Order: sequence, then structure tokens, then C-alpha cells
Amino acid sequence: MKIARTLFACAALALLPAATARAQDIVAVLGSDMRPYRETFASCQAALGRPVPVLPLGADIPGSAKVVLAFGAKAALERYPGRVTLIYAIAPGVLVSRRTHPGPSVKIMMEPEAGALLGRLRGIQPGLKRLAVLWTRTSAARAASAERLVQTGAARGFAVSSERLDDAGDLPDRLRSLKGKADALWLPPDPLLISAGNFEILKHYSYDNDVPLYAPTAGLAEQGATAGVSATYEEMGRTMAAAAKAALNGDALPAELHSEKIHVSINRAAAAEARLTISSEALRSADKVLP
Amino acid sequence: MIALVLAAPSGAARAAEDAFELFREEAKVVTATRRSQAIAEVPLAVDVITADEIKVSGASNIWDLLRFRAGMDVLDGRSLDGNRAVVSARGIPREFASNLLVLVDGRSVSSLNQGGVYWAQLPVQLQDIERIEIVRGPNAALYGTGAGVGVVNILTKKPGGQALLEADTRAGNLGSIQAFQAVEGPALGKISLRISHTFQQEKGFPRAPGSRVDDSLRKNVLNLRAGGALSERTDLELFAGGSWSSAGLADSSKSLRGDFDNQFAMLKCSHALAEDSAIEVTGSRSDFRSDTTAWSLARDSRQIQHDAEVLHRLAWADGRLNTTYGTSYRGVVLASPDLYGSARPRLELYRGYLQQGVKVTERLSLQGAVSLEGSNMAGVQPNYQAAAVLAPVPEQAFRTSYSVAHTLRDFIPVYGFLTPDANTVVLGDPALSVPYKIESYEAGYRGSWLERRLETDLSLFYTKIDNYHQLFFDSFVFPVTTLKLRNYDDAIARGAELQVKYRFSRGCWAYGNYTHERVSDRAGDRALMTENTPAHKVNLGGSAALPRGFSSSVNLGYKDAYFIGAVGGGSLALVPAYWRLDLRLAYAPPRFRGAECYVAGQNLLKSEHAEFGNGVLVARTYAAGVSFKFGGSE
Repeated sequence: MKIARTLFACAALALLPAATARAQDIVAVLGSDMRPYRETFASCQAALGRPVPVLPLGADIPGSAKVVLAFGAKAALERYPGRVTLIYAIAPGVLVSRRTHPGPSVKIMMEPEAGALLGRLRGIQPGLKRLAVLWTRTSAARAASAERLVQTGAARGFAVSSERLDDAGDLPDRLRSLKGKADALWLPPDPLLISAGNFEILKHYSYDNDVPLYAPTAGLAEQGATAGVSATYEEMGRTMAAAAKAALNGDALPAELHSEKIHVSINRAAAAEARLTISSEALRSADKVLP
Repeated sequence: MIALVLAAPSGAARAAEDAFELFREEAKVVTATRRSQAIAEVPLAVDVITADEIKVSGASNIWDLLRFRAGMDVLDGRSLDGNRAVVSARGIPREFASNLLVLVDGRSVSSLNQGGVYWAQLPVQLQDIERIEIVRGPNAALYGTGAGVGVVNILTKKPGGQALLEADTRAGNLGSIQAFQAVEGPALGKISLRISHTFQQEKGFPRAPGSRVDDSLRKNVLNLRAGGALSERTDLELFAGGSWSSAGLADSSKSLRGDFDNQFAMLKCSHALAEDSAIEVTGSRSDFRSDTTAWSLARDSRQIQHDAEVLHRLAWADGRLNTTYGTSYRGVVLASPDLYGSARPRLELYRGYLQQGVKVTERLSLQGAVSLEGSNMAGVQPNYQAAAVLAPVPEQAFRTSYSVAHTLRDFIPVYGFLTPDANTVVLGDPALSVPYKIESYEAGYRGSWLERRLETDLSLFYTKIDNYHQLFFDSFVFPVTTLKLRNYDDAIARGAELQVKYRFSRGCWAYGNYTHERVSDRAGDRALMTENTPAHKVNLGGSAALPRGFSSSVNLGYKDAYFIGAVGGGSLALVPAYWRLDLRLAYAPPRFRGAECYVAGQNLLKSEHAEFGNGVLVARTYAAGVSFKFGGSE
């Protein structure tokens, strides 16, 4: 018994540096203690199956770290050694370039992949043909996403118009110019466009002109968007974990990753205000239906 | 228990707060990263003229773009030394407005001969302008001497990565022809290039009674702008160009012609240290030569100017603090035997500056700036300014500022030795190398209403100028009269500027602005200080997209009467109050958006009127043109 305990202790001591080193090959940095960051991190850690040390902003990255998980734009824009793979999420207004991080980086996208998004929107609104996508030019990450939506839409029979705003102040004018030209609006997760004031303008436009408004979070559906179509924080965390494992394996990763599972919240009252009748099939397949 | 229930936010309110909290948090980072600043948050009176507004204005000259703006004053028809227009701000026009700093892509284009800008000879083309930023009010702490009353920054278009071909040709009365061409696109891999050229010809305005003038112009302007990324973090840009012109000059006693060459080259390098920190290094050289067929302020004159600047901009403390600091050098040498004899006046100016902005709370921002300028003319002089912006509710902001600027005088007041004719001598005074002081107080308000369709801006200002120079009689020894410049006068300029703009839809808007200015001075000299700016100015106008591809714009302006020095000096001239109407009507075929034909008219209400003395009369002008644009991005 004594020998077994001794052998066990030796094995534990032998494995401890390896375990510690393994634990330090992935580290996490959170932009703040906001709930979306914490939830995504918790899901990622659970999917990895092991604790991940959380470092404060600005802390030195251990020499053993090969992957840095960053939550939020503030964490994503920190300077990390070029040897680490940076995987960042919940940073919708940011696209990390080589200028910020010389090593590989992967962004976990909040919004669904273009084809999946359009498919879900058509499931909610079968007659949807013309979709207007609103985004601000000052948000660096938006241009490529908008272009992908346009191209994917063209391939699938949608007319997607990319409505670039020089700044959020142009929103009312742009909406007025869209009257009669769009069957629905898609609001990407653009932090320079999504504010309480702008959302009120969009919501009223939607109700007054019978144009459904689709938003990138369930919370905005609760606030009056026709539906929220997005990846959940839990799903983004799982996607992040899969990317981290692939990075540790040395696999090549794309610059952007979308979660496979999409969460749909439908606001029936908002849909009624926008004169949209949602089929029972669409309601059944939604993850959440608000009265 | 009841207090806790009352104090706690309702579930609905908390849910609403949560829905936007993430984006609010992310926006802070993006905003700090981009260092964008909404105009409402700027603690000064700022006006922006966009490229679209320039296009629909129908203007054929840069100074006409500034004519209908609040707080700005434009006089046309001067032409004494080739400088046809005088642009000034806030009631201090003078003939040579040396307190309004004019920049092109950040490079000063003011003349140190007598102050002011040779607008007609600027090496910049209307169609190349991306926007014009007008900052009314002192900004000397950030921009340096010469910005005591305001700054006009002309920013040109940056070449995009896509191939583009543009052309714009117009012809009108008074023998006017203007032809513009530009080509843009990628070159040698990573470089984007834009080359543009304008040819302009005019027979000039009609003569005022009793004057002999030849107010014609023949000009070529060529510009090159190239840029590219040296690395992921470093960008390099080259600006170069020139204006070569031959112009008739207005003089009541003789007919003059002048030749003007104005060339420059500038290199700008920016390096991003981090997403919220960047260094910029700029160096430039400009060479302005002028010569005239007889004595004038522009005869056999050459100004060579070198500028260099290094600055660092950064945002820190979660974007709550914005800092800009830097240092600059300016060296100017001027040669003109008719103005300075054998002397070659020079200026060597070294400047260090620091501007700090603090976002105290979401609603309150403070900004301060200080600079030290050392020069061979005036030793070391400080400039400083402090401002605050309070936004009690979204879309509404109140601002207040205080500033002190020490302005170096131009060369003629200090070094001048002019003999305009055999019986007159005008002398400068070396004692005028001491700068004069401008102290300014300002309060303002900016607000948006009706879902930002309606924008309003109000500014109130009080500006005190100490030890300003004027021309005085010094002595008479038969037959020669000697006049001398002395810093004899103090002046106070007060006023109010109100602007309102309503946007009906995209490309369809209406505006109105009102400016009241009053200048009083100790010397009581109405000719040069107190009454040479209109007390009241009103401008109205708008632009509309009409059916079937038509569009129109209109600008209507009223100016009160004012006095101004007559061409050639000497007596005053009263310019009566007048209205001015400019119109433009255009047609763009719906199937070919890159093409447009248009007709434009300026000063349509009267066949001619005087704006400056009695040299030339500003005539009614009209032109028709066609423009094309192939390629480029949206």
C-alpha cells in the first residue's frame, strides 16, 4: 500500500509539469467581466474539458502558450507574441490584421454563415426576395461580410443590397431611400450601428413600412426585432474550443469560423406589427418564440 | 423592501440595457481605435463641405465654395497682384487675411509676403477635393501661427485601388473654358496613383468705370498623389503638383500682366504603433514665383518654403484620453527686390505642441492644447486653448472655449521697402516683429432633431486683437510721401453664427445660415477695421434630386453694405448691400450613371456688381458642361 502510494505520488509529480504545461498551452483573456464574455468562455472551457487559465489584460503570455483565446474587442486587440494562434470571439467590430497580431488569428463570428442565414430568413419569411443589409463603413469587419451576403444571395435567388453608411447618423436618410425597395432588413452585429436610439429608428421603420427587421441577437428580438438569428454564446464557445484543438494539432485554420448551430428567436408581436404572418412550421422550428 | 423594489430597475429596463450593453462596450473599443469623433463632440465651430456638395454647387473656383458658409466672407474681383479673391472669417477680412490658416492636405499655403492666400494660383483642383473642413475660431495651439481666427483645411481625394477615369469640361460666357481630366488606379503592385490636370481660361470680369484692367486668366494645374503600404503597419504617400498661370491684374492706373508658378512636393509617412497609436512624419517643399510687367506687389517675387513635422496621436485609458503631441519646423525665404530691396527676409519657426482630450463622463468632455513657438522674428511665444463640451442628452451638445494666440506678422510690415511710384515710399518697421495677440471667447450649441433630419448649430464669439498694424502717414519731404506700418490699433470682433440644415432624403436638403459680425477698434478707422465686413449675412439654399435623372441646386446669399479699400490703395469704396444667386441644373441618364451634363449660373440677379473696390466688377456668369466617370469604387 505504501509502495503504491509512493508510486502514485511519483507518477503525479512526473505528470504535474506536463499537466501544468498542457494547461498553459492555452490561455484566455477576457475584455471585461461582461456576461457574454463569461458565458462564451465557460462553454469553451467545458468543451475543452480542462481548466484554462485566465490572464488579465496586458499580462505577459507564458512561453508555453500556443493558443490565446480572446473574448471581446479589447482582448482581441492586445499585443500577443507572434508565435501564438489568436482565436477571438464576441468582437463584432474588429478584424485582427497582421498589423495587430503577426501570428495566425481566427475570428469566431457572431452571425451565421451567409448561406445559412439566408436559408433561415427564408424559412421565416418565404416570400423574401429583396434583403437590405445595413452596416457602417467605420466598422472594419463589415465590408467583407456584406459582400459575401450579396454574392451568396445572388447565387440563391435573393437580391441583397449592401447599404453602407458613412456613419450611423446617415441611418434615417438611408432607410427613407429604401422605401419600396426591400422586403426585409438585416442588421449585422455592427457595434457602431446598434444602439438604443438607432434600434428605435429601425424598429419604427419596420412597423411603419411593414418591413421585417432581423437582428443578430435574441436580446434584440426581445426588444422588438421580428426575429433574432445568431449563434449562441454557448455555441460560439464550443466552436472556439474546436478551433483551439485544431490549432494545437497544427491544422491550418481559416481567418473566420462560423458556428454550425443557429439560434432563432421569433417575436410574434413584432412580426404582426410588420404585417408578417409566420407559418406554424417556422414557429415550431424556432428555438424561442416570444409572444 | 419597498425602497429596494423602487430602486431596482424593472425587468424590462434591465433586459433593454442588456440587449445593447455588449454593443456599447464593443463600440467604445472600436471608436477609440478609429479615433473618429462626431462633429457634435468637437469643441469648436466646424463646417464640412463634402465632395457631393462641391459637385452640385456649380462653382468653378475654390473660393466660391466658401461664399455661402456661416461666418465666412468672400470678396471677388481684387486681382491687384494676381490674388483675385479674399477669403476671411469672423469679421476680420482685411485685404490680406493673415489670421485664417489655409491648408491643403495639412500643408500651409499662405503667402508670407502680405498674408492671405493666392487662391487663383493654388495647385489644387476642384474635382480633386474630397472635402473642405472649416474650423472657425482660434486653433493656433494645434496648427500654429496664422490660425488665430480659423483654419480651412482642403483635403484631396486619396487614390483607391481600382482603375478610374474622370473628365469634366465646361464653357461659358466671358470666354471661360475649364477642362479637367483625371486617371487613377493601381501601379507597380502595391501603389495607388492619381494624376489630374485642369486647363482654365477666362477673359475676366468687366472693368469698373475709370479703371484700366485686364482681368484675364490662363492656367494649367497638374497634381499627382500616390500612396501605398510599405508594411502592414506603415503607409507612405507622395503629393506633388503645380499651378502655372498667366493673369491680367487690376489696377486703376495701368494695365498689368503677371506670370505665376506655384509648385510643391510633400511626403507623408504614417506608422501604426498599435490600433490606437500612430506616428506621422511629413516633409514638404513649395516654391511660388511671380512676376509682373510693371511694379506690383507680385513683381519679381519668389517664396520658398520648407515644412517638416512629426506627431504622435494616441488614445488610452479605455479611450477616455486622446493625446496628440508633436513638433514642427517651417523655413521660409522670400526674395523680392521691389518689396524688400536687396534684403531676403526669412522665417525659421520651430514649434512644439500638445493637445489633450479627456472624456470625463459620457456627457462631459474637456480639451486643452498648448504650444510653444520659437522663431528668428519673435523669440519664443506661447499659444493655448481650453474647451469643454457638454451633451446632457443624446444629439444635443453645448460647447465653450477660450484661447490665446500670438500671431507673427507677414514680411511686408516688418521688412518692407516699397516704392509703388516715384512719389511714395512704404516702410516696414522691425519693431513689428513682435507678434500681436488674439484672445478669443466662444460658446456654441449643436443639436439634431427629428431623427437627425434637422441639424442646428449656433456660435457666439468675442475676439480681441491687440497691437494690430496699420498704415500711417510718417513724413513728407517734397515730393516723396513716406507711409509706415505701425502696431497702433486694438480691435474687438463680436458676432453670432446660426446654421440650420434639413435633410428630406438622400441628396435632397435645404439649409439656411445667418451671420452677424461687428468690429470695433481703438483707432476708429472704419476703412481698414470696423466697416469692411458686412454686419449681416444671410444664406439660403438647397439641393434636390428631381425625377427622370434631373437634379438641381440653388444658393442665395445676402450681404449688408461695407467699405473696402479701392484697387490700387488710396480711397475707400462703399459696396452697397446685394443679393447673389447661384444655380445649377444637371441631368444624368439613368442607364449611365457615370455621365452628367449640366448648366450653372453665378451671380444671376444682377448683370454685374462690385465686391472689391473699383478694379473689376463681378459679372453674371453662366456655363454648360459635361462630366464622365468610368470605373472606381462606390
